[in-house]
Amino acid sequence: MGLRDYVVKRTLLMIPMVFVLLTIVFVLLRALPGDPVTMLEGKDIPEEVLARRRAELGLDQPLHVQYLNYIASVLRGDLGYTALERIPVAEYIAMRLPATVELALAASLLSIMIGVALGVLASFYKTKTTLPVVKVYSSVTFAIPVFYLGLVLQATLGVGAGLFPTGGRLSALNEVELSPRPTGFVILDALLAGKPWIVVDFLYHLALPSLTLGIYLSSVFARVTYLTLAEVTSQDYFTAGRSRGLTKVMLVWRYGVRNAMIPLVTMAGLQVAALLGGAVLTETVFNWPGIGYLVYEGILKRDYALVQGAVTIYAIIVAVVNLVVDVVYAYIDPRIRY
Amino acid sequence: MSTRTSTRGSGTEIVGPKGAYLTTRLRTLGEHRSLTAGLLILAAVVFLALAGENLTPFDPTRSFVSVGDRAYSIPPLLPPGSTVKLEGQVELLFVLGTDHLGRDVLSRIVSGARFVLTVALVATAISAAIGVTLGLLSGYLGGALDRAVSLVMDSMYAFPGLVLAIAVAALLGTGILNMATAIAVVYIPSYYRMVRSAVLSLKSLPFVDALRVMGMDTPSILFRHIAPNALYSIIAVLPVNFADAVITEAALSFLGLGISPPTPDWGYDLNTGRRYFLSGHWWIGAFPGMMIVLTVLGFLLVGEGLGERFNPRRLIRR
Repeated sequence: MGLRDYVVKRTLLMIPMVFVLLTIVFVLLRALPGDPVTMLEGKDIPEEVLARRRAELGLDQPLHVQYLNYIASVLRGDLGYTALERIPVAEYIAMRLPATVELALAASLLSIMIGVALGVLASFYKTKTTLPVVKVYSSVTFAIPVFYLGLVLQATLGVGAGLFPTGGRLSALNEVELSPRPTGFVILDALLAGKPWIVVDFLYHLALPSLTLGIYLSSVFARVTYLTLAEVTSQDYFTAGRSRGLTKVMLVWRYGVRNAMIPLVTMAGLQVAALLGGAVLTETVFNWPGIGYLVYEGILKRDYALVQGAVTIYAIIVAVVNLVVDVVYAYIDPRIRY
Repeated sequence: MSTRTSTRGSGTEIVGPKGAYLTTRLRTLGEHRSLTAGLLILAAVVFLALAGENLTPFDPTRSFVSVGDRAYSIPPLLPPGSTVKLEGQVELLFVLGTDHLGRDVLSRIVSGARFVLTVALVATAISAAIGVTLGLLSGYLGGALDRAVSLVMDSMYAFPGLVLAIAVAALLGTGILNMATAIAVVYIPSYYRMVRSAVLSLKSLPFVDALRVMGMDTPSILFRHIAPNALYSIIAVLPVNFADAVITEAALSFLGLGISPPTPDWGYDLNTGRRYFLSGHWWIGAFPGMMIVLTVLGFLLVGEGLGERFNPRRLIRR
């Protein structure tokens, strides 16, 4: 089976997964005890008003009808309306999606860089203390909640050292300056508008949030890199390479890191859930206007449609990213395609 | 698989039996040390949770102190180590300072332990109970049931756990059981997957055939003979999940989905402290945060220690 056939097959397999995820979202949000209308309007509202709201939202229908309605409207791209401003939720989310993508990409890049660097260094200077160093690093970064890490970075690198801004995506002036935003991605829009200085401002603002999320995710990569390299460097071909005069740096870089790629990609795929979950908290701490911050706003405003819409989008993102990871995986390792 | 006594790496480094004995000894000492350290931390935190208000110098929910029949209000935002002199020559010491409402931070973090630990405990119990039961049934019975449950569990596993918990918590509202349910939903798939794979390998062992030949019915084989063996696999994971549940609880509280104020809770206090963090009043949020880190580290160390004890293969191959 060629790579193209595999991609097609894998894409078709994504459809049931999206359905299952949407069903889970539905079951969790509708079938569990708890009434969205009461949550939305408060408990002191007369029963007639609540009943009218329920009918408006279609919540008075039997569960299976609600389920079909939900799936049908998601397929139409309709996620309902926000409670206060009555803006379509889908529009709201589309506006916020680029910011989350920017943060997620930057954080993934940083986490892999930090993790691989740490893993390579630890296995390169292999002494009795390096494994504990990696272990301690991964335990400590696991134990620090990502929002606490964010606050600490804000207080030290942000306010304390004055190096980076502590919130937002752009400074207020540039936020106004960059008014038409055809793509929604700041870097692209700034370059299209011919205002490259806005990119610099954006990277300044991106630094702390992406570092926070990057450190949070890096421990796994450090562990995987270290363990894989430890295995590779004890292989016979490694010794053979050494005896033929290849330097250790060259061997680790050309043979070790390449071999570590496959477990790293697997890990990167498994980390997507952690990345998106961590992004909710990071965006909240840094007022980063992405979907995660939207979820927080939805909770604060008790906007049920907003939370449900965001969760639905997360389900779709997870399915798509899983697909991408599988394809990358097949590209790196041809044995996977069967 | 190379053992301790075989040649490793370049082949020049041969570890003799005596060296192997020593390094193994040293390493197991290290492992016991992490288990011991973890248990000590946990004992301290559990003690705080149990003692709670009986131990704290001040009432964690009040911003005044009563001396005799008079009430004195406590000044807000006092830095750690501040003292306040009352009229009757009574001196009050605020070791970790006071928060924006004049409540003692030390008292709040001490009594905050109770809520977090209760929620994490209930959540871990719920998720383990459901996940283990489903894993046992699904792994042993197989067939369409297994495929359906596996599909649902794998999808849930791929979904961001925190988002799942947020969605459920936003709907259920606050309270110990509601929060615990929201958190439990996240961890059901991990128990399910572990137990299921353990059952799959156990059910092909000869002792299961023997039991069946002896005429034992399926429920007895499953729950009396396979379950005890399969449960070994989750022992080392329990503390790690517990640690994760503590973090998730803190995250939900941080997002405003936790317990309603003024009940002390680390995640909630951290969120309150967030607004004062950047203006220099770091102690309001910093100390609750440190308690979360310490508690989670305690559970992780215990998990690490248990992992080595219950999974002896890891000692040989590293």
